[in-house]
Amino acid sequence: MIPVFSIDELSVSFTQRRSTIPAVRKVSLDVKERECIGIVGESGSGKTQIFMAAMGLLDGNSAVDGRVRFQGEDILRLPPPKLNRIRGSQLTMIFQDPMTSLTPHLTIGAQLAEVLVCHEHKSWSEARIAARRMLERVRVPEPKRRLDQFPHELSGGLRQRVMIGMSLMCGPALVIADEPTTALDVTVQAQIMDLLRAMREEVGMALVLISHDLAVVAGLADRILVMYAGRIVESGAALELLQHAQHPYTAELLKCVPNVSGPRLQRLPTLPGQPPQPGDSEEGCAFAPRCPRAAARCRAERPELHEGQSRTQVACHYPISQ
Amino acid sequence: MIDPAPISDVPGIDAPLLRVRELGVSFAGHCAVRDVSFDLYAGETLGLVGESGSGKSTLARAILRLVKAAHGSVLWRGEDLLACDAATLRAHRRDLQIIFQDPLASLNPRMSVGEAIAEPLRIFEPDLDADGREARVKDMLKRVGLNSAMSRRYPHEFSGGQCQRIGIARAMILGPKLLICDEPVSSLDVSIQGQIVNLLLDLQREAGTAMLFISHNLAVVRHVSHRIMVMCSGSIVEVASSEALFAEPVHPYTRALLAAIPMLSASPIW
Repeated sequence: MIPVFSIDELSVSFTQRRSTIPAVRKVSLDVKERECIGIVGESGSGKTQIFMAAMGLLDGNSAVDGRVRFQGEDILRLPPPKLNRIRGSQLTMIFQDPMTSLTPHLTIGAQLAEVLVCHEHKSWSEARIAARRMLERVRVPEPKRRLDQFPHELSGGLRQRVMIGMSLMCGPALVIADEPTTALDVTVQAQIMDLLRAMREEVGMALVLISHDLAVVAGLADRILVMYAGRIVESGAALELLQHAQHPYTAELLKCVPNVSGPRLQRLPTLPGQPPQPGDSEEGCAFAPRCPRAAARCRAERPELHEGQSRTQVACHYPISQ
Repeated sequence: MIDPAPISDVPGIDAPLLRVRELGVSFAGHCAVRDVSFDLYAGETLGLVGESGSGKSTLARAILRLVKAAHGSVLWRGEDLLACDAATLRAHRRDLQIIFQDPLASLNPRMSVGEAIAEPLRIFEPDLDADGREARVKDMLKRVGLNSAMSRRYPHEFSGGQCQRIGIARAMILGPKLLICDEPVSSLDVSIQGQIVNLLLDLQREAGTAMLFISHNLAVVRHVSHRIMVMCSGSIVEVASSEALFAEPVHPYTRALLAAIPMLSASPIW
């Protein structure tokens, strides 16, 4: 199947006080039609920057290199008017904080309708009807009343439903959800994940789910990509990766998720050390200082992403084998 | 109101250190904490869970008199913290410490880390000289896993996990008998979470500190707590031992909370 979205050797770096800080290093990935991929990594691993760069949303102090193809077009090199026709209609994004991503002084109805007025040149009255229908689809109670409300009158969960609805107004080919439930309570998080799952069935869009929480991604993704220090260190089918992690980082990260069954522990499992900081040594594998399997070779030579077992890709000299 | 459940695995308990009785807090007529009663024993970790807005943090602050309680009593080793005068309260403060969610925001950006950790000593042990203070600060930094040479640096030079270690050092330097942890690991990465929780547990076991551990992360609370209280709309709706709460949740709200925990083992639906 032809990928709807593909990233080829994307690098992102930021310039700060004359020094260059690399955030994403030669990352390549594909998203196929209707597929859901999960991107997992800790803060600073570069997971968000990949997609901020791809959408052309980074600030002037950034440098982006590589290619991003969406429906056959190289969107990094599109002139802004052409890019704007794709962004918000065919390629949409949902952010972590639904309060700051909605405009505070416009009603919910106006913000949803605007998408159709801008992208599909619908009349405001037509667009408003579509907006109400969308609120129904994303299970917002009393949709008619909500149209005339402002973002601050809605709870965090409802605002995120509105954001999801907005991202779906034009029937997008791909939705990028960046930590969509991180700011929400555990019960609301479960509802939003259920909604995303239902929307995948009903709308049939491809979905990129970015999260620091493996458990959140586990419930929805077909494939999972694990990032560490700006690189993909493991990618594979979700169940395979969760059950048989081959990269030591993935395995250690999975161990760190406290479980809700089994005996109560006296101490929580930990991953010693901390992720590399800008300015740390760039030689060898970035995870080597924290890795229980690291050998001399790991500190000298950086492992490239290569085919491991069960069609999983892994960037490790000594992957865990079954 | 629910009677505190018996404790199974806390060693050597006599009388509770902290006895909270029918504590209520209102903001502009709205009831944020409703008649909350519970006991906390030396060496015990009591978990407090509930959704945002359920009143967890307000309850914690009311216990320490950081917000004003409308009614009720907070008996600390027999003395009512809500009724005592300012001088008595200040004397008790050294035994009552709190750690907040945002580690960077809870440190003074203009104070070096060493100064921040030494500040409680300056206030409560004024007779201690500068060398003595420095020795205690260095020892504390080491105990929370930081390099003692870091004491001259400022909070913005540290990562979130390191800042939380500094917050813990500042809270623990006086050897408090009660430590309230308000979402201490919620803003940290999974790989760092465990380190911070284990540090808290180690310090607690060394000193026999009583701990009120507030979190919306039920999986973390399950492991650290002897007992867990579930809070909903300002009221405690269930109290049980950690094992019992997860094995047999009674209140519908507790069940809803437990059912919503995302799990690695959950088979995806497609």
